[in-house]
Amino acid sequence: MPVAQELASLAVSAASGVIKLGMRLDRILAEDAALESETAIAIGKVVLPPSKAVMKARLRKLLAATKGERPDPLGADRARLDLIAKKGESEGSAEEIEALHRRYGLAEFEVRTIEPDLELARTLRERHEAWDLADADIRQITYFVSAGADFRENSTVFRISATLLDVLAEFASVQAEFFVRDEKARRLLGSVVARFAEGDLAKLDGWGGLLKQALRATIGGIVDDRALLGEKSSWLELLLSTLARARVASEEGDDFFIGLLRGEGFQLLLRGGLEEVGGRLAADDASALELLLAELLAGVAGRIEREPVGFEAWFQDNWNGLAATTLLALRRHGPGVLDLEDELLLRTFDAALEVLAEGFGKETPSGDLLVAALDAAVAVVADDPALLDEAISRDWLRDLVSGLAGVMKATGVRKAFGRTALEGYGRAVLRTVAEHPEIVDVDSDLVRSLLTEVLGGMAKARTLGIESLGTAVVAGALRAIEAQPGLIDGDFGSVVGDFAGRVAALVEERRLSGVQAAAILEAGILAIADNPGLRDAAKRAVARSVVEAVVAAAGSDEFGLLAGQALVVTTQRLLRVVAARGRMLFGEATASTAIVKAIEEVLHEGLSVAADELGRKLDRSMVPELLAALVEARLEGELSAEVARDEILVILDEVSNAMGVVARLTFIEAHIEEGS
Amino acid sequence: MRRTLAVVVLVLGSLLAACVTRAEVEEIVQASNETTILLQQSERFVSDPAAGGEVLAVDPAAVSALVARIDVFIAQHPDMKATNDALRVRKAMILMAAGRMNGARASFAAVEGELLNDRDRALAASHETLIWWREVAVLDDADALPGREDFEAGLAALEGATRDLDPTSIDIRFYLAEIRAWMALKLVMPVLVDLEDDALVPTIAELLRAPLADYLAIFSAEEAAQLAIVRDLETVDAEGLRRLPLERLRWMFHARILVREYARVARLAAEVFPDLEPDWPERARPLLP
Repeated sequence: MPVAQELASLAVSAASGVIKLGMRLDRILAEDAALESETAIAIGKVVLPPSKAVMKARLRKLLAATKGERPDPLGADRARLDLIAKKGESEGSAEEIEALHRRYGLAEFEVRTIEPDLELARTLRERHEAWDLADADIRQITYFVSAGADFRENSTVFRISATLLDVLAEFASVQAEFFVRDEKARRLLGSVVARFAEGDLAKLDGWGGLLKQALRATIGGIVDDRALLGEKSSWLELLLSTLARARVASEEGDDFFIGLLRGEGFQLLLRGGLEEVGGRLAADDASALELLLAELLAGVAGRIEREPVGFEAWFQDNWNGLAATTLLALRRHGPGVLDLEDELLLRTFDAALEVLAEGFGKETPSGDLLVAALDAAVAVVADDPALLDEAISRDWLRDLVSGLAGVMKATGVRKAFGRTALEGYGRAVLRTVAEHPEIVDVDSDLVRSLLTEVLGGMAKARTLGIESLGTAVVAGALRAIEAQPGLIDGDFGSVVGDFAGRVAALVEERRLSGVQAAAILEAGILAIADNPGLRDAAKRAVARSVVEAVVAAAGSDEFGLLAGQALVVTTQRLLRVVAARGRMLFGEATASTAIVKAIEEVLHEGLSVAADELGRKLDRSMVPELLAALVEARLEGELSAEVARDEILVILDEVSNAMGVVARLTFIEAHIEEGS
Repeated sequence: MRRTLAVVVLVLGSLLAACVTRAEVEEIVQASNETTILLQQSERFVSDPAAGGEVLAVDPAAVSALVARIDVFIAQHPDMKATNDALRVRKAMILMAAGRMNGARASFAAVEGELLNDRDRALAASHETLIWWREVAVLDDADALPGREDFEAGLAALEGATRDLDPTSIDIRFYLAEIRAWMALKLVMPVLVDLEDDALVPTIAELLRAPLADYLAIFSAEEAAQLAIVRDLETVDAEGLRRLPLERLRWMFHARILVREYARVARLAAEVFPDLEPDWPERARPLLP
């Protein structure tokens, strides 16, 4: 630019600035004149009219003072005065009362007018010489009310200073080359100074406001023209980009930077930073970890509100959302980061994270959510056991894990260690062992077969006292085989398994307790071992039918004669009877249902008679013996099909005589030794 | 040299030319004060030889012209909001003094933003009460006065407005407190006294004490000690006058008038209620007749 033109431009800018300065100063001073000047406000005229009540009081006094005087000074008025002067009465108008008041020369009482301002002005004028007051002074003293407290934020000095600065800044922004030669620095300076001169500096919030404006302008200018800074520093560029992004989000323009100084807007800065970093991480060639972090940062940034709140409050409001965001990012990119290829891990990982992310996103998480996530992971295995193929090479272990997972899915993780689940696990173990007897390191086909049959049968029941029943069955069966090695070649294991399954079902139906079931199982296994007929494939239901018959009889036993241990003993006795008479019975190919029905009838009638004779011909301990005797008699044909009461009484007498007191004691001792 | 001179002329010219607005506002302020003072003078007629005799001290057209001048200024400077609002209050007070109450109300209502000094805020906040009082204060017919409830509402409004003021806003505090004191006095007599109800004696006694005490409490201790001088203002010597603070003289003198009138009303009320014994504030005693 030629020198002359440059100077001309400078002169025009300077003149423009001076005019602007003058106008602004004028307005500042005009405002001062309007706001700070005193205002003439008069108190005005106050008129106090006379009181009717006072006049009436005076008239009352007059009446009293002249009472009895002769001649009466009130004459004919007395009667009227008596009427209107009475206190509290509204007789007589103001005019009449005032007229009477005046007529009798009572103290002068007229409208009183007070004008405080005029009274003062008059007094001051009278004292003019003594006080040496000019008329203007008197007027001021008499009428003026000062402005009082000034609530403007800025003093006149500040506003004038700020205006001066404002004009100078405008000048500098236009004439930046006058101060700086470097092109980039000049543009940067111009940008900053132009921002500084925006608006009316005189209206800023004092010197602090001016400083804020300077900061606002400086930071805003640099952020906008950061490209002019030349050599790029990645961190500086990141910082400036972050500031720019946060400023846009705040919708407050450069005021956002001032908010930062007050501790406000840090969320937006954080958000801007997260978005900026996230954007860079999410570049096309980003690694899985970078993608995960980018998504995480973007998600977190999206949760940062525009309104300034404390970090703690913000975190409290958002932490579950943050967790959800994290979990979603992990779900999407976690497998890549963790290099997961295993299908089982991928699917359980995905299922658990899905539940967690959804749960965290909806409500304040609780322990239930974790449980739900585990449930989901378990369900993956339970629903698709094939997933275990690669992870677990041994079939039995795979089946076991799948079975356990199925139980856990059914009960839920929260109840994973409750009674139902434990039974489920036991069942799963039983099933697994039953299906894979090779896991029991026994070189015996029989044992394996036994395990398969017995444990498989028991596993069908949904509720078991697993430990006691399993132990009882296996131990009882092995003892029987030890005593009778010939059992190895038959269907012993299968029959025992069938029997045990039925007993377990009775336990499940709550018709037998676990303890009762264990004792009955042991007796049943011995009976099966002793009676080859019971091991016949066609008759294998007999033993269990006996148990069912006893249990059915116990269910209709109103007197509790088959309660508790009596039921066990009765079953044991009946199993022995059936075993002892088995050859004969089964040789006749009697249908098991018919046998059961016969036993039930006998037990029903026998219990009825026993209840009637209780305390006379028998006591409770004799009931199992009586019932066994009756069943034996019935099976041998000594008791009619009708089961007559007289016949029962006869047998009862026999049993009672046979046992006697000593016999009964012996009977009881025997059962004590058996541990029942 | 020529260039330097040109710049100096330009600067000075700009600055001088830019003082127009301030001058305009100052003229409005001065004219409004003069007009208000003239409107308050009882002698509304002044001698004007040029007009051939007595003329009204304030020509109603002059009030209208002043109001129009303020309106024009506001219209020409819409961006000077603080200045304009202050002028609107000023205009309202002129109209109130001229008895043009609707115009006063409208001017208060036209205030756009937050008023920036205590005086204007207080006037705007209590303008309805002040306008009501302007009309009631001059009523000389006891039967035409508003009821007790209206007076009590006015007293409460002014008490609240005074309480909200900054302690340094002395003049406007005195102004509102004095209006309240006169209001209480007019309520006592004739309104309450004319009810002739002995049960009102405690109320009347309190009305003759509290508003006066509140007014006198605004004086500093030093100023209160000088109130006795004001009682004899007409006869006090030059030395005594010099001891009085000029900026408080108005309110000290008004205190004298208030105490005087309170004492008179108390004396009259006692003719109706012999049991009435006013409890005079301590600061009022030096001023009692």
